[in-house]
This record gives sequence, C-alpha cells and structure tokens, in this order.
Amino acid sequence: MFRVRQPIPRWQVVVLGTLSIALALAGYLYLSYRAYGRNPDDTTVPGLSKLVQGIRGLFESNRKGEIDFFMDLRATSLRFLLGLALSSVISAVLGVLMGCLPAVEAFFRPPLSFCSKLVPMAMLSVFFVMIGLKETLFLSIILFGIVPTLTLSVCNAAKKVPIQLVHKSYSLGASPMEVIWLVVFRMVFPDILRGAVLSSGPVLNYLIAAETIAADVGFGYRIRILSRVLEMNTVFIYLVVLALGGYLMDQLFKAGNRTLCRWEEKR
Amino acid sequence: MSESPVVDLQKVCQWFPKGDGVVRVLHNVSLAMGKQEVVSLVGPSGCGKSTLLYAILGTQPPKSGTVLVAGREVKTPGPDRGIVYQDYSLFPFLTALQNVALGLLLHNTSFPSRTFRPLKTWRLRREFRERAEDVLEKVGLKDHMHKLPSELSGGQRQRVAIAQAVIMNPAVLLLDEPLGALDSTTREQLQMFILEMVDLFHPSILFVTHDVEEALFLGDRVVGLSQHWKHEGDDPHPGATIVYDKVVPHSSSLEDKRQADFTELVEEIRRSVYKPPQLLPLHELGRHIQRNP
Repeated sequence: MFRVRQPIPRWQVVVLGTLSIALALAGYLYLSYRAYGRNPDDTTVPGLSKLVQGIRGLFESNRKGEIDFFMDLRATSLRFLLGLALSSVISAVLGVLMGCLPAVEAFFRPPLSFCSKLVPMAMLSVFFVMIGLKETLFLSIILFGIVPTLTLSVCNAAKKVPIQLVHKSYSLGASPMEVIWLVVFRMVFPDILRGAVLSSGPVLNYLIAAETIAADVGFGYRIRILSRVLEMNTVFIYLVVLALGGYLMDQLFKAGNRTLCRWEEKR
Repeated sequence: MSESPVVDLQKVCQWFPKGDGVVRVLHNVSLAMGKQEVVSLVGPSGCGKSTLLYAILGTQPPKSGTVLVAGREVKTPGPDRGIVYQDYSLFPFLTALQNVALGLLLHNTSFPSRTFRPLKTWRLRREFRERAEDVLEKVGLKDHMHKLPSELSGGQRQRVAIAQAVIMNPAVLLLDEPLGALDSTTREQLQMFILEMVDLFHPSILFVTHDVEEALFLGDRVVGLSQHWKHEGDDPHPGATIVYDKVVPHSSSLEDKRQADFTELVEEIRRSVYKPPQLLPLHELGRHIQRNP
C-alpha cells in the first residue's frame, strides 16, 4: 500500500476516502457534543439539529427580509464570475503576446513581476482610498491578485511552444498574427484553462476577504455579520454553499477542458 | 546544370556570438541544386547541417553570403520552402486532414477574409479539404485522416508531415533528419515512401541525415559538410564547408537502388567527411567535389 506510485485497488480508494470524511465528521460531532455538554445554547460548534435549525432559520429570515441569502449568492457569484472571466481574458491576451513578442515582454514583465510579489489584500486600503466602496473595488482586488501571476504563467507557456511549429507555420504561409492566434494561442489554451481553474481558489479568497471588509451584501459580508452574533449554524451553510460552488466550477472547467482540448488529453 | 538552380547558396557564412567572441559554424558554403534533384547532406554531428538548412528556410539568415531559392533572395521563411522536422512538428490540435489542408488555407486566404467572410471561404475550405484528402490517400493514410497526430504512429506522423509540405508544391523541400526518430523497420518503410513521393510529386529535396548509406540510397547526389579541413588563414576554426559533392552513380529505378552496393562510396565519404586521415586545404579536396559551383 505504501510503495511509491504503486496503484492501489479501487475498493481501497473508496474505503480510504470514506474513512477520511467519516473521521472529520466524527471529530466535528465530538467537538459539538462537548460544546453542547458545556452549554446547551452554544452555537459556536453547532450539532446536526442546530444546523437543520439554521437552514430553517435562514429561509425564514429570507422570507422576512432579514437575511437575503439569494441576494448574497447573486452578488458574490457575479463578482466572482466577472473577476475570473476578466482576469483570464486579460492574462490570456497579454500572456500570449508577451510569450510571442519580446518587445511586449520587455515592456510588461517588470511591472507584472513586481505586482505579483505584492499581497493583494494589503493593497485593499489603497484601492479603498482610490476607488471607494464601489463594485469596481472587488473587481480591482481580483484583477490585481490574479492578472500578474496568470499572465506570467501564460507567457511562460507560450514560450514553450516549439519554435519548429512557429517556423513551420511561416513556411505554410502564415502571417505573424496568424501564428499568434492560430498556433500559439491554441497551443497554450489548455494552460489558460488550467490557470483559470487554479486561479478560481485565490479569486474566491480575495473576494470573500474584500467582502468581509468592504461590502454590504455578499457571502463575505454575511459571514462576518453572522459570526459576530455567533450564529455559526447559518455561517456553516454559507461555507457549504461556497465549497459546493467551488466544486461545481471545478467540474465545469474539467468538462470544458475535455470538450475544447480533446487533443491535449490524448497526447 | 543548364537551367537556373532552384537553390543557390553563394559563399554562405554563419557564425553566432559566444561570450566575447564568436563561434564560426559555416564557412563559404556554395551549393547549387537543380530542379527535381534530391541532394543528401551529410556531415559529423554539430558541423552545421541544420544551420545550413535553416539558412535556406529563412529562420537563421546567413551573416554573409547569399541564399537564393527560385531566383529570389531568402530573408524570411515562406511557402516556397517546405520543411519536415525529425520530431514531426505537426499541429497537435488538428487532425491529419486539417494539418495537411492548413497550408493551403493559410496561403490562399487571409485572416480577415476567414473571420469576416466565412461563407466565401467555406467553398475554398471544401476545395482544400478535398485536395488534402487526395494527398493523404496517395501517402497511404486514407483511413487515418480524421485522427489527431497523437493517435498516429511515428511513421504515420512523418507521412502526414511530408504530405503537409508537398501539398504546398514548394520550390524545395527541406528534410531535417526526418527518419532519425524512427525504429529501423519504420525507417526502411519511410525511405521507400520518400522515393515513391519523389516519383509522384517530383520535388527538389535537400535531405539532411547523419546516415551515409541512407544518404546514398535516397539522394541523386551526396554533399558532405565538414569542419575537418585545413584553413590556410589565421583562424584555426573557420567553420564547416563543403568537402564532398558527388553524384550517386545509380539509376533512378527503385529496384536498382535496392540492389546497389555503396560500400566503396560509403568508405570514401567517411574518409573525406567524418574521419580524414589528415586535414587538407580546400583546393586539395577538389577531387571529391564534382558539382560545387
């Protein structure tokens, strides 16, 4: 079982996977049981019944207009999707151009390298002063956090496209624009998709952190408000929805990769 | 050579900067290739065979001297020169058919017309696809047209790469050790395939190989490039130059090529190009050079 890169039977994979989840659940339930023993009204580590209560409460509050779960979901999803899409498009275009044209790389690499070393959340106060409490604040934080690293990674991928393919394209009559668009871009497209998938985690990180500090609607804002009043049973529902959203994005990207980059999987 | 050469190299020199100095790779290489001629270029590893090929391709223009292809000076790569690499270099995201048709599409339509006038180019695309199908059928890949390069064997990929180049009807086809990555059986099959291609499409071919027997088997003429010669100037390492250039004495029929015994010629080429018993100045190497202009 512990031999390096030796495949294990399917049943072992299922048993080990189930065991890890069961252990985590058991640990949580134990903590919850202890907290309940100390104080039956405790909501910091809610048990199963308290979580169900939380879901009911959430829908009730939703009806009453105290907590609008769907408005939070809509606000966070929109910010997330827009931020991820925009940063992926900018990084793809700029990264491919940098990887193909040394002059573009010479111009953009220094500022991008510098920005990629800055902590985006530390820049929040700067954006806060410059932009104020607007929707563009969240977009700016996401772009600042994602674009430099993703662009540099796309640029490196573009540079790895075999030069023979570029030379061959020219010998087949391609113009420089066609080489960039038809050859280099298509060659690095799987890397761009992979980069976008890997960035979706940090995008959500930056967004939730920014919402915690500077939003009046959204998951980050709501989690902060609810945790202040120790309504952890509702907070956990938000966290589960976040995790499910991340998982859904992951599956969507995988499906996209299978459909759009079939050639890469077969390689 | 009565008509003007397809490829005409005139005193081509190539060097690259290294540290404070330069590494001289090619020294006064002059070579003329006739129409439909298959020239095999042999030489020791690192002598500059591929560098010479890239000078003709236009990706590494020479520092001095002139490269003319079909009478025009070469400055950049272009569709009049086809290239086939050892590692196939097919576009991995296109099927065999799309790989072969791509050149026709790129050469005959523009990016804006493909993007903004798709209906107009649709008819052309169909025509190119049919021509590509025809070529793939000729190279024996009728049943593999819709496969990706990763789904083809090494030999099949190289056939696609050759089809991709010959469909453009280039003035010269440059083959950079195209059989180097193949096992011996596939290699022999591909050698026969290249000879069949020569019969079928009559291209002018410059074929780079490190295998002397293969050079003699496939070429009408063998050119040896070597750095092992004595320079009478100050520079002890002036770069490689042509030290051997002879027509291969065999008939053009496949059967004669199969039967031919190249033992003596192989020895002669090895002595002149690879392991000369002593370094000779160029004027004394003249006995091995029949065709050099």
